[in-house]
Amino acid sequence: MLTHIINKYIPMTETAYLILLSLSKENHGYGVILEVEKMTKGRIRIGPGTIYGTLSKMEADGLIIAIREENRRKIYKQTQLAIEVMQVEIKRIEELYQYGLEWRLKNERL
Amino acid sequence: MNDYKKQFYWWWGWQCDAFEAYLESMALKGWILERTTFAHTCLHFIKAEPTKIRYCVDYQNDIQLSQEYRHIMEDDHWQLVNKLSGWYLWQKRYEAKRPSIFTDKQSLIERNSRLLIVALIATVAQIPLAAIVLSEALRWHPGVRVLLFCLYGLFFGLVGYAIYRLVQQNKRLKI
Repeated sequence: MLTHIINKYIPMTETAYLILLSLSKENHGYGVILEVEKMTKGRIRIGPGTIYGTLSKMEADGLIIAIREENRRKIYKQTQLAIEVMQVEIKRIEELYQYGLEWRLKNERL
Repeated sequence: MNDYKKQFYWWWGWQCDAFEAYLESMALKGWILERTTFAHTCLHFIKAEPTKIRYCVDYQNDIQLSQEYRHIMEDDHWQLVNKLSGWYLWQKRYEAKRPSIFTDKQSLIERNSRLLIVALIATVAQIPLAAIVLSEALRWHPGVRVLLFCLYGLFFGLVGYAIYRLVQQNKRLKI
């Protein structure tokens, strides 16, 4: 299951990454849009069509679950599977960042 | 001066961008889309102050408007202009930054893929029916036979072309 999801989601799109980060706290679809906008200081405002499609896909893949409904809106939260996938993705990003730092050091010396 | 206008605009599933841009340009000229009829091809405009309005077309497999989908769209201040057989036309007034319901390529690829699946199912489902009708038609009047062959040719030609264009669009989006 984890391997299949890792193959499907990694490397992760910026949208999926930010949605999963924001769903460490319970939230509904529009709440995720606002949370991501706040987290990125206004740089990214995810469109509602993109949010709906991504949340539906993540729910079907078991990365998030709808824990209850409030005002007829589903409230989502990340699952243990999402946490495991995020660990893999963060490790990948860390490696990329490390390569970037090494490149910068070399180029600064030139 | 007439403050109501009805206009016919023919568009295909792979031409959403052009359709959306046309509606937006009409709103900038002061013609605001009031409603659509005939599969979003007959457009009814009313005269008003020129306004920046973003229009977005979506295709969902749910023929009934999902509550979750509706709430997310409406919470973000998008208004539904019309829906028809899975096609949704949304609008939102804006001032500075032009909004969109899709903000990444993946969402557009998925919308096109939903359409592609429908086109493929329609084609596959028609093949056995076409085979039966056309084999029977061999015994019918030549005029009817030619007409049937032309109709099926047109149908398969159009659906085939639609599939080709959607696949090409998705290929471009994946680059």
